[in-house]
Amino acid sequence: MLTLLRQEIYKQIHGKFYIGWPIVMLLASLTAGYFLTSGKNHVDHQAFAFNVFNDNMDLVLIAMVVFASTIMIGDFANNTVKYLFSRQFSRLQIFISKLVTTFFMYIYLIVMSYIFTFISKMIFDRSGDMGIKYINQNLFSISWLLLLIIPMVMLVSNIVKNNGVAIALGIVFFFASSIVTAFSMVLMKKWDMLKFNPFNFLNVSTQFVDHSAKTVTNLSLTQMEIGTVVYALIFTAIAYVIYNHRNV
Amino acid sequence: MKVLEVQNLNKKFGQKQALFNVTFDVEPGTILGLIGPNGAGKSTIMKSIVGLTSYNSGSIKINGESLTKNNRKSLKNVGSMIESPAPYLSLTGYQNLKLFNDGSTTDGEIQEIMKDTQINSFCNRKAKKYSLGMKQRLGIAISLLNHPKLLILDEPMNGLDPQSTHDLRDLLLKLSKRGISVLISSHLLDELARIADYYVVINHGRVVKESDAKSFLSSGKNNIKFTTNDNEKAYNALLQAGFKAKMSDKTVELKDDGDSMNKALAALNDAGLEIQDVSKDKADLEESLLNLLTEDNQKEETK
Repeated sequence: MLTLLRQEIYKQIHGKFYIGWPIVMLLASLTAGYFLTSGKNHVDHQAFAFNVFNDNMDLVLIAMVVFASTIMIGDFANNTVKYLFSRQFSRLQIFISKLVTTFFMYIYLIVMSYIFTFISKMIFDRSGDMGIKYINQNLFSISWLLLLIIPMVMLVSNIVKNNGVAIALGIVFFFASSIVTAFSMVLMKKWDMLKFNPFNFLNVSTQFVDHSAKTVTNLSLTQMEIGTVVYALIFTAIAYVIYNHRNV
Repeated sequence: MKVLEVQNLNKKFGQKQALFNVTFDVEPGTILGLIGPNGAGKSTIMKSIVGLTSYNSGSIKINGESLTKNNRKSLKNVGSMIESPAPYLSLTGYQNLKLFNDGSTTDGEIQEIMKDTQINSFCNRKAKKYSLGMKQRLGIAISLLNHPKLLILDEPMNGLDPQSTHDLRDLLLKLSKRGISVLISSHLLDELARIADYYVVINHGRVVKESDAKSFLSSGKNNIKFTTNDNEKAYNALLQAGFKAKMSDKTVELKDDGDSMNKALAALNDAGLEIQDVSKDKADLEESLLNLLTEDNQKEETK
């Protein structure tokens, strides 16, 4: 397993993603910092850091959708899967190594988000505190959403054999899911049982920040969190089954 | 102990049976040529051995250890290149070697592999800029990582220029002398004939013949060629003597069944012909294979 992890990380270190995406995030942080302070006499210090961090988290969200879409099928698209699958490692070990790498990439991008927010704060709004409490709350709310959306994206992208299509499918799925969520909320008013549909749990990030969202989701925050974990496990398991049965 | 034992391997793709009780084995330090026409099942056999595809029944043992879906430990000793080389294109050749090294190959050994496969000159370029031959050599280099005891190479000579083919041949012979076994398939039969110790012929998913190289070639139907002062007359004389002779532009040919030479010479002398040249054409691997496949296909048709 350690060998597989080392290899996955080696691929990322020698790829463009881990450098390219943080550069985009840094530029976004600086641009946001500039526009949040430019020509303003009074700056809300906590809101400044929160907004810059929030912009970074939006980019992290998209980055993770792209990353999760490609990491599972990249080897199939490049045909390198023949080397990967013809060794002593089982497909489950390979699958887990990719999940762990995805988690590592998330941690890496989060760390970058904190650093870039801090840099932007140092350049454009030196005074005042960071409002770290709100930043952390934002982080956890997005993390809950990603916990559910990543397995969903992995599941959907697993059915294709091309990197570009997988990314497109992942992003389309990500945006389409919010439409389906809105639609499911309408239906939930008619059929209460539909509150357990997976798309309702995509509201977990909203409810994490604003507990009054319970009136919309019809579930408590604890129920939402448990449901998110359960669905994440189910989708991950299905994604693995598909991965395990793919032909080489 | 045998390096590879394949026993009664059966594989179905949907309703279509692709392999029928395929059985053969590979001895340590030998080179086994897996030959047969396109679609015969060679790649499916190789894919089954390296666990790329599952099989319906039968067994595969590598160094005495069974290979199953849940027990793939035995693949630790196997290096392979199946169908075509597929390195990570965004990485350099050297980075690809570092990537696929599971930690057991030292930097010095990687350098040696690079030297053996002659990729030193381009190993610092990204693999996406490689020609097919370069990728092929990199693929072979990757298969040599992690101290394999068995190499499985599917068409490794594809895309190689004559010099590289020659070098690969030498490398495989060198490896087999070091005790590494090689299971190799290739359509370049002349090249295979120079290195293989054994052949397994596959046709329609079945093992048609398993034999050492010498007996395989001697089992081929050899021809005797006569050149006379009147080939047409010679042809008729041989037909009258009961031979199934063939006439070409400059020679008359017949199949050598052992004592054909003396009998044919007698028939030609009796006909008063002046024999200018007699030569024996030993069947090469290609001819032996074609004869075998023709016979097998005829058997299949009559079933």
